[in-house]
Amino acid sequence: MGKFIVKRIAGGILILLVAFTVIFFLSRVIPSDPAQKWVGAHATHEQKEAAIIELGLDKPILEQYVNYFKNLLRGNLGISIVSHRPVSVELKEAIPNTLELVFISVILAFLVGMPIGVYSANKENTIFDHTGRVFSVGILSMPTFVVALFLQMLFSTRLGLLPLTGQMDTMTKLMSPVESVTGFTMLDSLITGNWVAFKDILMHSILPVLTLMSYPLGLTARMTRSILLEVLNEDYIRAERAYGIKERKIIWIYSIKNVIGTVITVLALSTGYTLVNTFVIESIFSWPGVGNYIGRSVVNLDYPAIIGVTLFAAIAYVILNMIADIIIALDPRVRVVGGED
Amino acid sequence: MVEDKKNIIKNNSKMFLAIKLKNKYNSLKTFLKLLFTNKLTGFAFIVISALIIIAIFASILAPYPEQGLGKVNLDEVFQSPNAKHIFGTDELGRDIFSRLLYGARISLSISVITIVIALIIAIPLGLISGYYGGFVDEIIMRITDVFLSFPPLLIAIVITSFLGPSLRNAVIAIAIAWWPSYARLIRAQVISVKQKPFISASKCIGTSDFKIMLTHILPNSIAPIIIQASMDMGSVILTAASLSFIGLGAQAPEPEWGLIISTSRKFIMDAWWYTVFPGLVIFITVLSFNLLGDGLREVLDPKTRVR
Repeated sequence: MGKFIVKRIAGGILILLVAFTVIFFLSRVIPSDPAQKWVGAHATHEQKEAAIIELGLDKPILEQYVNYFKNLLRGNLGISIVSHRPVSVELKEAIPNTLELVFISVILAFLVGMPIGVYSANKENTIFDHTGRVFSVGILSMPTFVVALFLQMLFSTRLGLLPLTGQMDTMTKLMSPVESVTGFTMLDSLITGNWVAFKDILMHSILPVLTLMSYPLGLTARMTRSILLEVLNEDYIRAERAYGIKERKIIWIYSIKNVIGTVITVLALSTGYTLVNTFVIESIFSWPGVGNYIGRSVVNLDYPAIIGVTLFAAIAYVILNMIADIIIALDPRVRVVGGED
Repeated sequence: MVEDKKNIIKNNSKMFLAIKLKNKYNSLKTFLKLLFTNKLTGFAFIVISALIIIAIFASILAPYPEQGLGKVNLDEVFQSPNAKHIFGTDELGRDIFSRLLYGARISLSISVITIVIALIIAIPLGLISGYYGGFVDEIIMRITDVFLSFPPLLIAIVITSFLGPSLRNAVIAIAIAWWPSYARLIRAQVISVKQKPFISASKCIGTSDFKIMLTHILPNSIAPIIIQASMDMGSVILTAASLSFIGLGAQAPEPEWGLIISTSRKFIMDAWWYTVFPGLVIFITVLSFNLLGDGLREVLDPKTRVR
């Protein structure tokens, strides 16, 4: 088991190395002119020459490659072309806001999706089951940005119940600013007992969370249903029924154990998907996270920032994949390749 | 005598052709019958057929073809749905219904072209990988591993932001993100086909590797790939629309669905029809492709029936 985990982590690091290398060469091979971007369109020739030296673009490509990795290890991601601030600092501000959204959405999706799946498996081929299935297929076919816009139209423009965009109102920001303890704004407002800000952030986060949770919710409900249906046809479940054990106990105690591992694995994988979805929907909600940041960088072709976000997403994705694999391996019925010897 | 023989052969071959066509027709009929046993799949099949017709005849069907392609009409800005413009008009007075019809053309061709490019990359690599095995196989498979470790949308975002935002680059980027799963699928098929006796037989009579791969292995392993490709149409449309939505795909005034919705965001407070109709169109299209994909899998491979 230990050996498997070590192997898996080594594999993950290898994938990251390859991915980083590909990103580096992509950023060098493709005909874009970083030095020109750096000094702006109206710079003199001398200024551009200076920028080339400053950015290290005059060195041989292999040396640039080594420097790139050295800088990565130091946490130096370069300087944003637009804001002229270090990308790592900007990312450090943005990442917690995104992670907050992603984790809340995925956990809620699990808590809501799992019971829906169990219930529709239990009531197979009833109206509830059919509605649930159509709903989950429907939600998986809905582009996230369409979900986001429809929710905005319904709850903000039509009903006026929830704020349209932003993380908190300007008034709250001025009157009761959130002290930074962990960097996670919502958590910080909770820790410092800043209830006004907490309530405000909560109201602002409802729509983005609903949007982001739609995909993992549909997936969880669908997975739970299909696995549970298989489990419920097993002989040992029939034996339990013959013993006269209550149906509720059979489902929630004996069957669920066989479902929960797979569902958590699927959830770990869909966390990565949700993370990429924030790239699309954060700019809709003007949520100050990574997605909003990459949206802005893409419009301005701010390459250091794009590379920074990509590296973050790659790392997050590899870690999530690793967690999913390790959860699968924890199941004693799964024989792990390379685990025994 | 010779003439007679020739005639007989001619007639026979004609008859043979007729029988063959009739068989084809019958199997098509059975196939459609199976598809329509599931009402949802039948619905999806009809929607997609309609979409294809719309895409081909967009210029005839659209009430305002020039506006569909981007002609500005400032006299009728932001009209809510009415008899003249059933889906309303946008900020430049263009008929949204016409633009959506032209958008069907773009979205369908994007997904077909993307999948074809992905297959062009994947088929040779998958064939080589599966047929030769060993070191080459190992390298190709590790490359696909790296690609498959990341979601296609992320890969596509990175590639288009480096290539520069345009519809053509979006297609290239999505194809690059998509080929590894096909390469895997082809490799698995090739490995199972190459163990069949007829392959050893053609090796024995000295057929070249290239010819074996092209004439014996590929035709026998293409079916699951075609199924998978048709099932991926919906996801490709979604990814392309997302790219355009971020600003990395189609550029104005192209009537691409994702781009139309992206533009509509600014007017969400005043013009609900501008967002709602394009949103519903994308939703119904992707839903139909997904339902048809599920249905196809059920019909063609009863073992993996999803419950």
